Amino acid sequence: MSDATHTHTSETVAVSGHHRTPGEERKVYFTVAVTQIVCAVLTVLARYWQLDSTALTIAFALLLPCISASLVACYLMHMLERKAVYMSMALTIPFFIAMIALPLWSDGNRPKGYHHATHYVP
Amino acid sequence: MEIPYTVKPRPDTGLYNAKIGIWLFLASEVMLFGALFSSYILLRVGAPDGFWPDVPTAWPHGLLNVPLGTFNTAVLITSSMTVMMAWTALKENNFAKFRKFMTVTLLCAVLFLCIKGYEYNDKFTHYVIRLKDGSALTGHLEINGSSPRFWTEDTLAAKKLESVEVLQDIPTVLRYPSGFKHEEVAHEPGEHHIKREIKTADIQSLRPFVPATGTFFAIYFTMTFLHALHIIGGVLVMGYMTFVGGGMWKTEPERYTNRIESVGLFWHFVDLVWIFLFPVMYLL
Repeated sequence: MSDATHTHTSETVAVSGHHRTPGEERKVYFTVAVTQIVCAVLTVLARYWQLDSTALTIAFALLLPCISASLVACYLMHMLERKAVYMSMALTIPFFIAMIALPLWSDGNRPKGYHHATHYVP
Repeated sequence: MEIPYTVKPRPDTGLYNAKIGIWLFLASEVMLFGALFSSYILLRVGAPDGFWPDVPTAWPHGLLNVPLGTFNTAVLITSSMTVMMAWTALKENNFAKFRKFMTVTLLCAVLFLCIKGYEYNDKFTHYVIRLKDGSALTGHLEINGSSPRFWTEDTLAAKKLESVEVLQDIPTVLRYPSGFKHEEVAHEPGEHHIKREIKTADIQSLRPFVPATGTFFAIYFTMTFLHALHIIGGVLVMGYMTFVGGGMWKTEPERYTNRIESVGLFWHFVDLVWIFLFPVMYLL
């Protein structure tokens, strides 16, 4: 969404530095929504592919949602606007990736034959 | 004193203040959910191999309703689209159209919560039963034609039941990764449950699918309930802005539009979180 400092006209809506008609804007939002739903369905279908590695399975299952999330961030949240403040907010993305990658990395780095301690069993 | 930069952008940031505020809030939310996703992965990859519930500490598979989860994903994606349509309608000076799209958004949010509530109820009536011979099974209890919630072996003892009827789940190949052995349950083709009577004296433990029953349930309920709280918060704010606080549109239309934009940003974030929660919880 762009700043609402632009005058309210029925002709154009300022988004991501471009001026589109409201009709064009709606088309973009509709296309993003359809693409997201397709991504969700593909993620469900990918469930049938059983990979050997748990880490690989998790990484693959997060790939399509990442594409879907990028569409939301770029087109619905308008992070494509070249503003320094958005770039600083975008720092949360590598943080998120690091939070996901660290446990996977540590799991792949276990010595052979190592087993976790038994968990609580109700 | 007038609050500065509610409509015009600050020269240094290029954004009005509410937008900076909501982005900072969303950044902190990324930290919160990032930590929870990280915890999930730690628990998930740390779970021992094996077939749950035979191996009590193994990671359960296929306990959640994938078609319902997929439908809920589509509902949330639709609501994310309609909130943008509503904002565009304000840009066109069309308040009636804005209200229409916001109403659709709110309906989608309520539908999402109803489906989630239905799923939660199914979990609260679903049990893992460990027998004294060492075997384990999952299913719904059937007591006088209804499915009780939150029962344990203590409840059975208190009610002095000699036996209970169980609608036992039948594991399918799709539900469980190949390579794990599990006890075959005789059933007719296409059947998903079989009715079975179990003597109370044979039951070692009876646990509903609640957070205390295992790490999967703990992280599932923590993350989905936190997400549901965000949905409830969004519904309250959007409902207020659309129906109660709509008067601002007449006096300060640009400020009102900015407020809707901020609410929309929050709503997209809620959508983003679910986009990751769905595959992580339902499919992996």
